[in-house]
Amino acid sequence: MVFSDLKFIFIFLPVSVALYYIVPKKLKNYILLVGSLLFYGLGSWWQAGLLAVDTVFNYCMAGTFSAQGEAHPRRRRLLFWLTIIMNTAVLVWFKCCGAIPVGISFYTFQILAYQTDVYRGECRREDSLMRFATYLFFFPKLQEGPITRYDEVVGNFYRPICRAENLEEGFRIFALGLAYKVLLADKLAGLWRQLSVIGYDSVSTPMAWLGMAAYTLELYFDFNGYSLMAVGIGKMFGFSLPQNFLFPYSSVSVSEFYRRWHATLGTWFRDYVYIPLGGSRKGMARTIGNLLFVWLLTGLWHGMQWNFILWGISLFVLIALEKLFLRRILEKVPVLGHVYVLFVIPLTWMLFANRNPADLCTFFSRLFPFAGGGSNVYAGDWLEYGLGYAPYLLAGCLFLIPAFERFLVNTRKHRVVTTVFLAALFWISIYSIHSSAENPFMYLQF
Amino acid sequence: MKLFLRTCPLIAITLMISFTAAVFLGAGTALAKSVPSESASAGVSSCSPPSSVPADPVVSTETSSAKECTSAASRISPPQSEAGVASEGRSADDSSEPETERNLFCASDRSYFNDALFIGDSLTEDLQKYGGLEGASFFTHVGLNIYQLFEKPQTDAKTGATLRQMLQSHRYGKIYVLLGINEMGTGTTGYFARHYSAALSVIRELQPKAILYVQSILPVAAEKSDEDPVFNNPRIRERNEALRALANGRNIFYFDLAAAFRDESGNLPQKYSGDDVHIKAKYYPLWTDYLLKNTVPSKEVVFP
Repeated sequence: MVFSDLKFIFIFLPVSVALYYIVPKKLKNYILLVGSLLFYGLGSWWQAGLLAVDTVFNYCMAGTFSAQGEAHPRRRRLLFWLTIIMNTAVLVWFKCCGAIPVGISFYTFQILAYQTDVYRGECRREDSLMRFATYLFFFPKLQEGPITRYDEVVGNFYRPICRAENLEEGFRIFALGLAYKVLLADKLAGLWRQLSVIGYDSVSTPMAWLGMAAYTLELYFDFNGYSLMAVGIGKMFGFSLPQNFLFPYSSVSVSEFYRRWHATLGTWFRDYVYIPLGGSRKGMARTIGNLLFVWLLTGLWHGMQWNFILWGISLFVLIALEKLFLRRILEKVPVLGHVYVLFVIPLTWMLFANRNPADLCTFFSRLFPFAGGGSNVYAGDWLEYGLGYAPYLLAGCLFLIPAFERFLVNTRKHRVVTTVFLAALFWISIYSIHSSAENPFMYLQF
Repeated sequence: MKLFLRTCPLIAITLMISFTAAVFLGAGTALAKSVPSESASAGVSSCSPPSSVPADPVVSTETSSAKECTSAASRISPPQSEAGVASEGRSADDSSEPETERNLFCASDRSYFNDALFIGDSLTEDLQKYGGLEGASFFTHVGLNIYQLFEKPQTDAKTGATLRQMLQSHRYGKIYVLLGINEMGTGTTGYFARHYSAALSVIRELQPKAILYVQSILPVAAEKSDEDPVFNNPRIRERNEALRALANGRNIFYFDLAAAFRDESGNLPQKYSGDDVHIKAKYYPLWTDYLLKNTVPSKEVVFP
């Protein structure tokens, strides 16, 4: 089951929310746990089983190393690192060698964060297996994040919040996220797909740039759409899940972009890898080294393939350059910064999108045809597809600007207009889901 | 209620619409149950038929029936069946030879296609873009299918005309049809073949002197064929056999385009396609090449 499933939207979600609100306080968490188990289990029972085993293991390990207390610091450290290594090993094993269970990259990172916080004393160890399981299985964030810290979520387990305003706010955010995914991302995916149907060799240069723009927008609206839906659903249950996307395309540097894009992953790497390694406090050489390590890991987190490693490295190079001198220039001349980000980031996404090195080379030679033309190119292809997809491309570009999303979701003014607009978006999305084949979330494979 | 509307307007509206929609849908399905339907459509969307571009030497083994010849030269008979019948005057309706229609094929130059019309879905649309047959005419529509061939909104992508309009306003010497992949999920093979035959009759009525070529449905790549219960090569082959039976060897010919796009296992070679179904642009010249090598010269055609 995914959020853009009609069965989810019209059956699972209303039923689970209604039960949560109706049921007495001490049973509410059980609704969440059972609902989340169903949500995950209906997709795949063995994956749900795996997470269950993971949950029990980590619950026990946290208890074990916590129990060592002050008396046995070395044993405590050993057990802690054993936990970290085992969790990481499981993640790496699946990413290399097996069918990757849905959400494993996300929940493993949340487990690692929890264990580290408990070890450092920043977070109280959870003594209820039920609550711990509810946290890990919690269905709004199970499949694609956001990656949370334990104390961002656990408060609601003790003090559930059931208010009508939350239902409304949450649903508004959910409706927008759904529209992003179904009306923008899924449609633009068609344009990007056309490029591989035609074959990169035979795509005209304008078409290649158009395709790159389509992929860029598709990736943003797919993942942002999912994240908004997650936040929206969380809000309906009274939870304040962190925002994953803070208008990244309004950044002036790549460094800023990655504080705004998939923000929870960025903060995870910052808090659990970069800062523990010393961050930027041990001189420039060490900083660059730390950045390289973080970005290699970030690439690998997305997939254990060469193209993700190359993607991570290319971003490292840009960020390192920015740290050395580029950022000052970009921040002084914002226009330059905006153009730079809008040009460079889509190019880096092409590393993300092409697993095959030959394809990548072909594609770049179409983008920058200095070495000559392609093979059997139809010169009017970009015009045809551009016109066909124009409404989606334009709408996509429009919603990159923060003002629109903020207006629809955040402001209290013009409530009637925004409500009618969101209702229309919601029903158009439903109609679109109903009448076309579904497109699983791109990040679901992680 | 008013309070609910004021605090949760979006939810209130959604609930109201959901309730209304549910009522209508409920009434609708109750009515629809009385209408008989064909087998479930496989949700064929705007997926244009996969075009398989013949790749390599596969062409020569399968199409041994296609004789290379110039329009005036004699035909080379196939070794096994034509002993002693290597003459130009071989009658086209000599039905005693099962290989008759294929034996008629020979090579022509591009001018053969100046009065040709290609009818098809997105595969044919791509042929128009990437095939290099500038003189030919095309009637293409992404998702075109045989059941709604003559109806709006099935209009030509470039001109906006319906097929009937095109057939009524021009005279074509030959008409090539490639349809079938979009219909894989609808109806039985017999149902499909009946509708195809009916469509050919309408085309024949509007174009009494055009040679009709029924192109075989192209195979899909192995990966898709192995996994998909609807779009797989055994089913495609079954439909192609039905299409073969629609030819009469006199003025309607079965053109085994699929032969040019099959590998030894009967699948579309993976390198020809980005999505297991459509053909990549750079391989379209293989289709054109196959067309050029396998034409029926007009003197072999007999019209009623």
